[in-house]
Amino acid sequence: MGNILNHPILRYLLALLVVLVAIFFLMDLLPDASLAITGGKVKGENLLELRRELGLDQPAYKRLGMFWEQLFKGELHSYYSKEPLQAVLAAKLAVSGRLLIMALGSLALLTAGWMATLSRLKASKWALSLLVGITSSVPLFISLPIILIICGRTNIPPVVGGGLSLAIYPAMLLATNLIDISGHRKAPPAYSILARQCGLQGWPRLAMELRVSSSAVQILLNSIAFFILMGIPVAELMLGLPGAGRWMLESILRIDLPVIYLCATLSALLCAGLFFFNEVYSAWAGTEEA
Amino acid sequence: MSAKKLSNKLVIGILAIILVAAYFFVQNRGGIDANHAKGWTLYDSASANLTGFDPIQIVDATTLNALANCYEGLVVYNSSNRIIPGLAERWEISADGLVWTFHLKPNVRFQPWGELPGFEHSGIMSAKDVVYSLTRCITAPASFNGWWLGDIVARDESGNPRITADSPLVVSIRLKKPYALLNRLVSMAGWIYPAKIDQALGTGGLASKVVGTGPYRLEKFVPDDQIVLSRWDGYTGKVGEKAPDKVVVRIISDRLAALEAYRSGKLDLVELNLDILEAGRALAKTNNDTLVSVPANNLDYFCMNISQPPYNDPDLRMALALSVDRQSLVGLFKGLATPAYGFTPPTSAAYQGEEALQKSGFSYNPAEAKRRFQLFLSKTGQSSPVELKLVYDGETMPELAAQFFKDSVEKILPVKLQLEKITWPELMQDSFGGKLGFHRLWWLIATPSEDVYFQFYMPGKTPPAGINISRYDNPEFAQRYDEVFSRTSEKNLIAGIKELEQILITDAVAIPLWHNKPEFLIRKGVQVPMASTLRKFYAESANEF
Repeated sequence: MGNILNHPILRYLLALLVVLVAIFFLMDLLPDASLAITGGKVKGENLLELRRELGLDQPAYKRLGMFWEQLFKGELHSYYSKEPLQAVLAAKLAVSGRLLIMALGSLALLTAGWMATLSRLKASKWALSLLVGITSSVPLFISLPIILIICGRTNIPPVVGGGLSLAIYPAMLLATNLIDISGHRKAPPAYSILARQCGLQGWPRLAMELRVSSSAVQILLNSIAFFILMGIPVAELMLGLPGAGRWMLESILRIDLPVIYLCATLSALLCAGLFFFNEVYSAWAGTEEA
Repeated sequence: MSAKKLSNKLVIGILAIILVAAYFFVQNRGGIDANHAKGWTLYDSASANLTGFDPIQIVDATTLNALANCYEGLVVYNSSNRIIPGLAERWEISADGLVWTFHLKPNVRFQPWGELPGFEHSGIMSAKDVVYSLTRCITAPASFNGWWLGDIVARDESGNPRITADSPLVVSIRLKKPYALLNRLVSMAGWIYPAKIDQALGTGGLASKVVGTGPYRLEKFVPDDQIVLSRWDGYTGKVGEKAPDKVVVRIISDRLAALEAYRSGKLDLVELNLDILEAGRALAKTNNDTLVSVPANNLDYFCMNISQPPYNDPDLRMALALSVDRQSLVGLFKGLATPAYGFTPPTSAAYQGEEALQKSGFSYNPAEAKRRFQLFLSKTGQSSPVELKLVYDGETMPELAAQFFKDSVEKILPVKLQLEKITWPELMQDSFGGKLGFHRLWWLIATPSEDVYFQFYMPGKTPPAGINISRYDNPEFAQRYDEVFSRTSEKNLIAGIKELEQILITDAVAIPLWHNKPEFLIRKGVQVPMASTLRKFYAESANEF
């Protein structure tokens, strides 16, 4: 067992398995799907038939097996539309993917913009603090409607506004860590991972900085990744974009268990991917130090 | 220029290129806003998804209203809520009121269903299709809508519904007892499709394909994105000269997002809720767009488990019902609702009118509320303040109503009312499970069916069964209900419905609060007739662009 756990891939598979089982039993705490589907308008015997049809009359462990079988065969169906979920998934992921690309593009541009602004505000610390404070304290659910209204009035596609919204805070976070805010080049704050990026002498220097500050880099990248990934469903919901995040949120509200399980599985895979990246990164940084 | 500055500019340049490239990538991949062409396509919006296509499993208004443009029944209803001939051109009732004979329109074609190996059908509707569709609705184990017809239609010795094809274009339906059958046939339970096509379609059956006789075909449905309906050339019924070739219904759950989509020209029609009402009205004024207010077949109410204490006491129920100043309550809704002093909606022919109902219904009467509450206290010996809990779901309007109710009741009666907000699925589960005694509920009857207005859901009660679907256990009411809905004269029927309503009011079976009156913002030049069922009649819509 110990040997198995030492193998990174097997360790991740085991963790994924545990998470998928946990998600299933958490889903089991949701209200009865058959009542949500029929809205209380269906006779008792027809309700029982629906429960049989959906497998809701089976014990939890059998339903879990059923879900896994359908998941691996690509045969999970929505309780409502009845169509195979993989047919819908590609279209949903394409929308979320476009939003993600917009967010990353905006992140790049805004980071540069923040860096330029912050560099010029180095002398006025109060202005700097005010700007950083305001930006970091405006939550997504406030910036999104504002950007939505601007998009509506200027004919900018909502996906562009959504990407911009998602990038505002991470860009500020990244920028404040990329420049030497304090101006003390010799004593940068501990969290400043690439403080002197303009002075870097090519990739070897960057690689060195990344190794030296690996913990801070990981925290920074993870924060940005989680902010954007968690923000995507909110942005999709508020902007009316038909992406995977909104699909998951709305499926939770209508108790469409197969969709919830599929989306939760994808989220778990995504999280596992991020953790795996962290592990590889740590190993890389650690090897060099050794 | 120093190397450092050059490097900075290079970095910014690269970043700008990345952003521009990302923008064009998004645009070129056909974002949801692409290809918005005006003229023949009507861009509508809905806040919820379709929940399935099979007529026997449709229970929600969004699906019913969208697919009512694709399917038809023996009778249909028009935008004035009148039941009119649909697939049947005429019908007659036997002298004893038990047998209804429908004469079908000839040469009505079904929408094409594509390749279905082994499935043989002429594509022309006949009595066999009608018998199959109605029988399946009543007998299929998976049917959600069997009760619409199942409890009215007589059965033979084998238990099969007595619906027969007397000739290729004549169908007769025998009832258990005389009843207002058209009320039930006008619903999705009465929609007709080719016999046995559900079996030929395979696994998904009719849940995977829409094969009706209506003016529009369901071209595409992408959950959380859009419903696309396209005009069907084979339709032989009446279609407006300027009806849209295509209807794209964008599914946008967030109302602000819907309004902004309208503002930027991506929608021709949007429903305004309380959150965007003022902005929508201002937009209408600026653009000279149209605001259409539609009184809906709706009732929002608080229901009680009237077989459990303390709500089994009619004095308590009446005291609570009389403590609400409904006029002030609807004032909070800025014209999106009218006060409900009784149970039938203003759209019903049996509606007594606001003035009459203030006398015979639940008018605001603090003195009487206090008196009835004292009676309740003296009977039960409860000490005051009496602690009650009201559970509700929903957004702005229910939230305001719950708080308003709490303030009103606590001001007048020695009651401490606790409010608890939960989600709709939780409410359904807890209510059916008998855990709730007092909660908010609403109905929107998506067909003009007077009898269904009495379909009261009460906590702890099972779903509808029997001819009387009110779920209200009162022998007097049940007896009157059967008698009233067997009346053939419309005038007598309406008089009977008013009598039934009075029984419900006297016993204060629930606390009616308001009837919704939704407001729609419609682009200048666009006309979309709407019924009180909130169905939009796309085939009668027009565009003056």
